[in-house]
Amino acid sequence: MNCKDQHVLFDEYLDGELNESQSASLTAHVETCGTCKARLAQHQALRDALRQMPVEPARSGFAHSALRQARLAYAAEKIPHPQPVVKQQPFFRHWFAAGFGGAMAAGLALWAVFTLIGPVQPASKLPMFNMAVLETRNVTLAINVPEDMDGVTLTVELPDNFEISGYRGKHQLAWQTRLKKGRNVLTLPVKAVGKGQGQLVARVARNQESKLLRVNLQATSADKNSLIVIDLKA
Amino acid sequence: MSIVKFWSRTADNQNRFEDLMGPHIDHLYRLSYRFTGSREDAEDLVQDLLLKLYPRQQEIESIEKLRPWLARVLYRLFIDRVRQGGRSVLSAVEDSEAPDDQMDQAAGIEALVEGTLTQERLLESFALLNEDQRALLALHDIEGYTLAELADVLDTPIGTLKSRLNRSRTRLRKLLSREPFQESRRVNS
Repeated sequence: MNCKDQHVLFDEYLDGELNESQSASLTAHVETCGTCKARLAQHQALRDALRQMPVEPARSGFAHSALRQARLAYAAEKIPHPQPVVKQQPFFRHWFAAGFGGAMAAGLALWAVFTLIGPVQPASKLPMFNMAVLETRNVTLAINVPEDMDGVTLTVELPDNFEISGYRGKHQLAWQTRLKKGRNVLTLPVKAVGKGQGQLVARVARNQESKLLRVNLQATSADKNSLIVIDLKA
Repeated sequence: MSIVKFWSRTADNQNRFEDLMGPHIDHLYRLSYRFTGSREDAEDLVQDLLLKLYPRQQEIESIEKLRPWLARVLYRLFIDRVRQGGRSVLSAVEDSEAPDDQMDQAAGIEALVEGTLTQERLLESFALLNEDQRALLALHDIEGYTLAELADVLDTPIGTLKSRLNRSRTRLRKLLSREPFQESRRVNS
């Protein structure tokens, strides 16, 4: 074989794809041919350089966050489709106001039902609520329970570009409370601190039970009023 | 099923999924970064993959060699995105139809051997490959998937893979042999 015949085999040689005879022949040729030896070194050098190309690290905590998002998204698809709200009962707002002490901007409220019964809502069809950057709007959750409930844990998670007004830099808040029979209303002053899209994830948990809801948020412009409703069936 | 049992089962699923997928996230991110060339796109691709796989835990548990299987799903997801984005994976592959003039490619590779080729230049050239070429080189030349594994991952005969790899490398060598813009500017200044 001449040099050109050898060149076409270089990649397979480096891949270990040549049979023993071909490999031995090429090795012998390269040992005696300076041109081919240099060319083979070029092929090897390119592969070495490719393997050394840097990878920008993922953001801190990405793996944990990505796994959590997958879990939350899967769980959220188990909850039923949101329906329009008729009215609010404001008693829960008083408790909330004591806890957060924030001025409530009039406006945004979201609506959904928290129950395991009903149609599944695809993640791609979650409601989207737009806000302007640095704007604070109220997100109201209405939690329906069939009886008085003690020891309920409420958790709200927000994407990185949103926060609860007055809780700068915090994207997750959790607190324990007591729910009264009927509708309990919780108003969250949500502030958009940067452009982008994400999900508000609200969870109500008691003992081994837990219910989840997520809503898409986008920091762009204002949107219509809505309300989140959470039904806890016995 | 009671609500308590439902949520208990959900918690078990969550732990199982994280046990299964956790050890592979770094590898999947690295592959995604090679495919996409940016952190944001790579994270987005991995997140999308996890969302799709979460309901398929039983299937995942039954897979003997999970890493190549995950690479296969990731690759298909990536290619689907490229196609949905209106960019043709196949058209750019044809970019390397020109004769394989080894001498034309020598300059860039010699620089590489001599150590004078900057990493930045290599990154720029790699980024100029089309998505399919990048993915192929990432899987084989960078991450070390064998041709046999790739044949399964990409559902492509080994002979075809060899041809595509050859075209991809040829294209990269040609890109590396181009006169860098920065050097032209330096000469003129």
